[in-house]
Amino acid sequence: MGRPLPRAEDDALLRGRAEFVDDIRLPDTLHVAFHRSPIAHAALGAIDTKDAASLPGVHAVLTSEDLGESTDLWARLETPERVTFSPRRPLLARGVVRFVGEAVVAALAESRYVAEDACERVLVDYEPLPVVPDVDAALAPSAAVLHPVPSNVLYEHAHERGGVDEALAASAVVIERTFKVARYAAAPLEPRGVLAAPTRDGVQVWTSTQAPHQLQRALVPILGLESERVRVTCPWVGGGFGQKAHVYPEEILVPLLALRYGRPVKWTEDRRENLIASSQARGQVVTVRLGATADGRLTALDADILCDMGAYGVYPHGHLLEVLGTPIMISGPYKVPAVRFRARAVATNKCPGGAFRGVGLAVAAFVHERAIDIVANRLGLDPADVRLRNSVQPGELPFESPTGMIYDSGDYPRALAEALERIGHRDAEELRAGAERRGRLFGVGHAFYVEYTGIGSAVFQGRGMVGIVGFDDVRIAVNRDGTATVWSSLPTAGQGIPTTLAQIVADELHLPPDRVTVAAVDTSAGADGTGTFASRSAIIGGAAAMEASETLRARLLELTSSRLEIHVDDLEFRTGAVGVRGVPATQVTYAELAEAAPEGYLDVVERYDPPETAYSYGAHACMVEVDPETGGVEILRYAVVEDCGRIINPTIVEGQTHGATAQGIGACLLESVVYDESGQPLTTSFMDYLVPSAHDVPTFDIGHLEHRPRELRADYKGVGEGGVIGGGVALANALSDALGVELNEIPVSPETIAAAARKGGRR
Amino acid sequence: MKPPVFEYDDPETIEEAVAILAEHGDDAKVLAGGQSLIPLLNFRLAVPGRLVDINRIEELDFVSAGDGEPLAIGAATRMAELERSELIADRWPLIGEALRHVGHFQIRNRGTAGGSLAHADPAAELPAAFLLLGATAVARSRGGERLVSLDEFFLGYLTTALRPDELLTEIRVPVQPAGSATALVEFARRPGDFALAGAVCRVSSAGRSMSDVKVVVFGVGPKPIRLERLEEELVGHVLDGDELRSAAARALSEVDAVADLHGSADYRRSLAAELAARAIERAVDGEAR
Amino acid sequence: MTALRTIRTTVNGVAVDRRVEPRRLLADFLRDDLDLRGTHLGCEHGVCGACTVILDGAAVRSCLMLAVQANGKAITTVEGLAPLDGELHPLQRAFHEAHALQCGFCTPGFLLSLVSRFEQWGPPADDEIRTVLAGNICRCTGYQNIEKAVRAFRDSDWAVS
Repeated sequence: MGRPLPRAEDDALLRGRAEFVDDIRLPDTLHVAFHRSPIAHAALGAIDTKDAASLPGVHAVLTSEDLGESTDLWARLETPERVTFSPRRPLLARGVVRFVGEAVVAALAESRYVAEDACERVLVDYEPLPVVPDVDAALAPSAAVLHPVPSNVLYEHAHERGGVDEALAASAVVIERTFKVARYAAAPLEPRGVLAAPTRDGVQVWTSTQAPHQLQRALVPILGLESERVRVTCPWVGGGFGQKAHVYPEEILVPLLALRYGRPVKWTEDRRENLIASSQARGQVVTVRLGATADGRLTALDADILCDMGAYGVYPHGHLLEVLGTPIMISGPYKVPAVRFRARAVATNKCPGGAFRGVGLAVAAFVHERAIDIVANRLGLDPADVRLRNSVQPGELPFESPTGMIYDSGDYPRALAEALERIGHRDAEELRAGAERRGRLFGVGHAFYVEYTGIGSAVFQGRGMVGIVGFDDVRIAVNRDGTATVWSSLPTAGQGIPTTLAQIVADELHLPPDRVTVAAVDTSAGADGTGTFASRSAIIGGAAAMEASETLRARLLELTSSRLEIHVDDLEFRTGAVGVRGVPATQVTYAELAEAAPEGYLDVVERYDPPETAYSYGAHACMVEVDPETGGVEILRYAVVEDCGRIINPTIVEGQTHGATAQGIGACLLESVVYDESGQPLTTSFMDYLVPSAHDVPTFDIGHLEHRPRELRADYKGVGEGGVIGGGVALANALSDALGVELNEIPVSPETIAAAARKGGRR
Repeated sequence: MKPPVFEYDDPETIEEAVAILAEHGDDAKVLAGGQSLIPLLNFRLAVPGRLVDINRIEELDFVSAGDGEPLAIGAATRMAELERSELIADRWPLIGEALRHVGHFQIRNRGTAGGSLAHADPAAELPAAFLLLGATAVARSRGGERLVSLDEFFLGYLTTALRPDELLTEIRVPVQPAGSATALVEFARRPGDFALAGAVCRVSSAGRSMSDVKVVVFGVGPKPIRLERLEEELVGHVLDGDELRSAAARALSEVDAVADLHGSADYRRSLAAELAARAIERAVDGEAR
Repeated sequence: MTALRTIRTTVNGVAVDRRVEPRRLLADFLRDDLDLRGTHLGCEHGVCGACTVILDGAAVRSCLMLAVQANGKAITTVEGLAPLDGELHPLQRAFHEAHALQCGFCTPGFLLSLVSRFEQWGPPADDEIRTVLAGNICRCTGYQNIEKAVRAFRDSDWAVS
């Protein structure tokens, strides 16, 4: 624990031997391609598949007529507030299409090449319907309504604590702004994919996912099979970032087809499909009023939050992710006596909105960090001072936020102070002068945030996402060769779970890490759970691993005690063995104990469901130079200080921070999903959806604090999302500083920056 | 994203290639490096009935120039080969400079100069650079050879003067004026991407007094555009940063610029004007402002 | 369907003789016909570089080549960098030690791009490394540790080999 252990997973990946879902080959596999709607909103008329079906090599061509309504995905949501309508999602569009990319026809063929040929021959009669291209259009009185409810607002909730109107009226200054955060694509390098094969009495599924048990639970009723007959195995996963934390229609359809046709069936997503039909994220418009005293103390915050949920929710989270996640964190790490929010999830003719690293948090941080910079500038105060003045202080933790979140532990001001120190903020004036001599603009910015991690059933159920169980199991067996095998419900998609879990278990069971193997996640392995997202794996998987290890330790002691006829109090653990205190020569190895133990006795499963949420936090600081004529941006320095409790593996934590912050930079400068007025996605390839390259990401200087959580089994918190939560807004703040113009929408294009440079008069 | 079905030929000589194009030219596409064409096939945005793969034609792969002689480049010569050529680096450094901005080295390992010209992406560097250098395209068909000055080669968005039955076989670049200097400046969202706008120039100057100026901008309009008005305003004058920028802005105001996802027409014009100014400054002073 | 073509090529030192459809992409040929699945498909339009292989010494995107174009050429895929179950190539080791991979999907593309780049153009200077890396996309690592791995390889193993 605490050691920067190199990863056990690496060997297979480096040799190109790790099997991702498309790498798994089964004889007689049929390949699927989809005809996807080219139009954003239309009634479906006749569908002619004759030509397609008659192509040599085509096995079948299906529409929704070939599937019953019982195969629809439907997220059951039971939120306490206002009417929630949770749209049904048919596996293939039925009667109507609601976004470009929605699958209408599936072709099954001997190869993907032929399946795509078949899809080109499908003729679909689309009868155009009025398009709702964005939230403004969706809320207009004359808007077409996309679902059988009175409006496009499919969820609304509100909350007030403290008297916001009175507090604002009494404030020395009130700023009112509208902030916009675009839609983004998680864009993992490996697109999605699913393979299914009929087994003797059921079906085996492999899918590129972050939550295999969730898929298994969804498949059971739809396929009409008993749970033991549906097995979902996780292959190696090439990145997920939240996009793969949902159950998608293809993941239901492919197993269904495998059973129907009695052959393995595979679908591998291509990049165009991934960018237009796999869930997109964020996409919010937030109007805020923030009040403060003359000396910079925040008095009240009022936020109206509009979330663009797209045409459907995702499964099983529905459309509740951003609309619940953002408002509850809208006041961030600050003490704001009065807070009010109203949040709405609005349906539009776009791809469904789903999870992406920093759900709710990235937008909340954008809002509170831009707003506090604006207030500071308005008052002529240093933005860092205003942050420190309003920050929850270490002595005030645990602290209940105005939105009812209990921040557990930490030293928030210190993170900010250290980030500023690391960036060398004292060099700012000199760097500014140097930049100006070269005709460039210079800016410094920082951002400060708190993030919820390790959420369990209380949170998911509390949010109404009743389809999510919230707990996770870990199963550990001590084997006859003295090694230990670990099964969890937490797949790895690159974040190092096998290494991290192995480190924890190795520590707990007194084994060298290379004697602990973490097995691939498989729903038939006896460890049920929720899946890996929302920075929950270390907290929950780690705790479950600790519980299971504790049980195993007790049994190892007990077995040794009877074998040696010595009381457990006189026994101690040594590497891979249990020995007698004070008698170095006397011990029994785990191998010997496992050999003699009753079948299954040294094979235990324990479950963990965290009693409370752990709050990690951090601060980002950066310095930028802007070329005012081109709008080009160079990031000169970038520092991050983060606190995720006790660090299990510092290398992994830093790697997560590098990658997440790179995504934050992408969110500010490069990335955005763009739809035009008719609902056509314009970013349909990597030539238009711009993911940061090695040139776009600076070298990061990273510092750590380690404040333990309060009530959790283990003393670490969650990590992995902070970089993207703080990254986008730290950069936006630095650019606003450089330009002397507020940038309240991200991403910002070079054109916007160049225009702002002219306007700001700093050119 | 798999390519559609097509007929495929891989001739070994120019003669074979043009015979195929004579018969099938209307429904055929020539495959050179494939770095632009194959993505179009994978997206099924291009659905040619026939692909004529010219990568086996050795007579299309060469770089040569005698002492004091013009440069001749075979149309299917790999960009990486051109990048490594000392001859080109020495006597036509603008080509090397342009190449360093074309995608990434992996793209240049397959991409060809001829392919870039024939594809005619308006934001591509090589068409602009060769145009600036006064190059000539050599097109062969079964009927013979045709020389087309690059001034007349680029007709519009992805459209050239090549006829369906013609194969671009060679690019000829004249000897450049003694003592002239060239420069390329571009701006892209990410280095290696197609430029939002860019400029190439050639200037002959004594001190900062310019006697001969040639400027081409790319990425702004549907094809590379020569800024003759700017050239006229600058010739015979001493370089002055502010005046240069005003003149460039005036020249760009006449250009019908492209608007898309990544930039508006106005932005492209003002960007191109600034980049043209920086290119000229670099050619004259050795460094841009 | 168009007539199949015969291609003869050498892949990781082994002679290969197959018949393929002209439209078959080289990446699919390697993955499906030759069972070399370490070459990954991330975009199929030549931007991400996950499909990079070495063709006659040069790094190329195998999603932008037709299999028939490999006729007469020698190809190295990631499987050819280290012998089966043998010692890792020094660059692979450098990646491992620097934690330069997370999900690993882009890694083969980076390895082959870098190996060929070093061989054809020599070791990059510090301020050239990010440019050399720019033709491969990584969504996980933020590139910092990949740069670290390249420097370590350049300064120790490459200098020696």
